[in-house]
Amino acid sequence: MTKSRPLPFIYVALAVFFLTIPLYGGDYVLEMLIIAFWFAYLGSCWNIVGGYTGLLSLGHGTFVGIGAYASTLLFAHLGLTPWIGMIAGAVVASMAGALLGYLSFRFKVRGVYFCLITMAATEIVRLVFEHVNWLGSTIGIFIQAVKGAGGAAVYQFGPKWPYYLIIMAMTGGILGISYLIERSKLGYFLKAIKDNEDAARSLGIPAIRYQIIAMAISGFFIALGGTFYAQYRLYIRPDLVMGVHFSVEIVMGPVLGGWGTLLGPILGSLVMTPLGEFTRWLTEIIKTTFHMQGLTGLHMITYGLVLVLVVRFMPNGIVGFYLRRRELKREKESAAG
Amino acid sequence: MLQVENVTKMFGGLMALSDLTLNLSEGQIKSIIGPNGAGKTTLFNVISGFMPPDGGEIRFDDQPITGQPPEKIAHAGVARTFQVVKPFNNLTVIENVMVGSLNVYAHSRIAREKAREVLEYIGMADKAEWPARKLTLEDLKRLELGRALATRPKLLLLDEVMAGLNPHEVDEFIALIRRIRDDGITILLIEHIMHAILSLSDEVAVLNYGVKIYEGDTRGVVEDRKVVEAYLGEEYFLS
Repeated sequence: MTKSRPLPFIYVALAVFFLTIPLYGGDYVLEMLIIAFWFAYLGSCWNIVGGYTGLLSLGHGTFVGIGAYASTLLFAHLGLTPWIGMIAGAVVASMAGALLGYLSFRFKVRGVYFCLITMAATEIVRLVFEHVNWLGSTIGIFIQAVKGAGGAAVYQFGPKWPYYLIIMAMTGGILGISYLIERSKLGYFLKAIKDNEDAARSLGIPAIRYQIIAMAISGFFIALGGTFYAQYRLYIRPDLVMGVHFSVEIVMGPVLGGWGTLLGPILGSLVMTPLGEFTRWLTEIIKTTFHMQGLTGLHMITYGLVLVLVVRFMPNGIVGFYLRRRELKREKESAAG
Repeated sequence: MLQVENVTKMFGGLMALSDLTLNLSEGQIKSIIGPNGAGKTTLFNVISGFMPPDGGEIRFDDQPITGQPPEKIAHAGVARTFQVVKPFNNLTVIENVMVGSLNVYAHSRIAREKAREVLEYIGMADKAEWPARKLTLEDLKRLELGRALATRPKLLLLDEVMAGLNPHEVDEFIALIRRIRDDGITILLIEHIMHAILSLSDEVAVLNYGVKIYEGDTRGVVEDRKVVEAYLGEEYFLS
C-alpha cells in the first residue's frame, strides 16, 4: 500500500499564486482574501481543541476578543506597540483557555455541556465588555491611526497588502504548528483522548492535563488573530470579536473543510468567505430582478441553505469527503486485485 | 506484587465486592472466574483506578495505589484491557500501539519503532497501517493487548480477551499469553473459557456475588463443591 502524495510542485505553485495576488488583485479581492485567511487562521487555532481533541468549543471568540482588546487597550493607555501587546493578549487568552478547560474538565463537563459552557462564557465576556465604559462599551474602541513610516512600528499599514502578507504568514505558521502537533506525542494523545478517553487513561495519559494544554495552545494563537483584526480595521467592538455569533463563524470553516484534519479548516474558510460574497451577489440580482428590495436578510438564507446542503452531503467536510472517496477506491482496487 | 486487602465496593444497595482479599505474586498467572455479575470487572475497575473502592486497600509493588487515577496506576506499571474493546478508531493499528509506547518513549520516532516491535510480537505487523476501525474482533482483541504491552507494564489485567473467539484463535491467544508471562509480566485474567483457564493459570480465584468462594490451584477448583454449585454446574462436576 503506497501513500499517494500530491507533488510539492502543487504547493509551490499555490504559494506563488497566493503571494503574488497583491500585484494584480484589486482591493476588493484583497479584502475578501484577508478575511478568508483570517478565518482560516482562526479555524486552524480552533481545530487544535475542536478537531484534534474533539472538544466542541463554541466560545473561541472569547480568546480572539481578549487578544484584540488586550493589545488595543495597552496601546491606547500605555502606548505599548501592539507587536508586543499581542503577546500579552495571547498569554492572557492562553490562561483564560486553561482556566475554562480546568473548570470544565475537573468537574467532568463534557460533550454538549462543554459546548454550552463555552457559549455561556463568551456571552458573559461579551456582555461585560459591552457594559463597561472603560472597555469601550457597545460603541467600541477606535485605534488612533499613525500615519507614514511610523505606522509599521505600531502594527499599522496604509495599503492592504502588508496585512495580507501578515495573515498569510500567520496561517502558514499555524499550519506548521498543527503539522508538528499532529506528529508529536501531544497530537497522538489528543486524538487518543478524543477517540476513547477511558482507553487513553488506562495507558497512562492524564487526559485532563492534555485537554487543558490543548485549550492553552489554542487560546494563545487564536488571540494573535484578535490583534490582527483590531490593527487591520483599527476599530473593535465586542460583537465583532466575541460572543456566540462570531464564535460559530470561526467553527464554520473547519466544519465545512473537515475538522481534525490539517488542511480542512483552511480549505473550508477559503471556500466559505467567497461563498458568502457569492450568495450576496446572487441574491442582489434576484432582488433587483423580482423587485424584492425589502428582504434584507435574503442572502443569509441562501448562505445557510448552501451550508445545510454541504453538511448533508459531506458530513466530514471537504477533506473528509476526499479521504473517504480515496479509501473506497483503494478498497475496490484491492478487492479486484 | 499485588495485594487487594478487604476491598469493598457498593453500587447503591448492591454489594459488588464484599471484603475481598486477593494476592498475586510476581511471575504468576492468576485467573478470576465466576458467574456474570460476580464482580470480576468491578474488581479490575477498582484495581486500575476507574472506580475508587468504598473500603479496603490495594497495594502494588508495596506502594498503596488505592483511589489513584487510572493514568497514575498505569505509570506505576499496571496495564489493562477492556472487556468491550476500546480501540482508537481514527488511528491506524501502529498509531494505536504508539499511544501506549509514547508513555514510555516521548519521541514519536522511537515510539513508532517500539510499537512496530510490539506488533511483531503479537503478530499484527502486516496490518500496521490499517485503520483500527477496519479490524475484526480477534484483531481488535490482539490490538488491545498490544497497546497495553507497549506501556511496558509489570502487571497485565486481561478482561475476557478470549471471549468471542473461535477455538483456534483461543489457542493462539493461550500461546501468546504464556509467552508474555515467560517474558516476565505478571498476569491477572478474567475468563469464562475453562480450557484456557485450566491450561494457563497457576492459581484460580472464584467470585460469586462479590465474595471470594475459592482461591487455589486449578485442580482444586473443578472439585470444589461450592464452585461447582455457583458456577461450573452439575454436569461439569460429573464429567
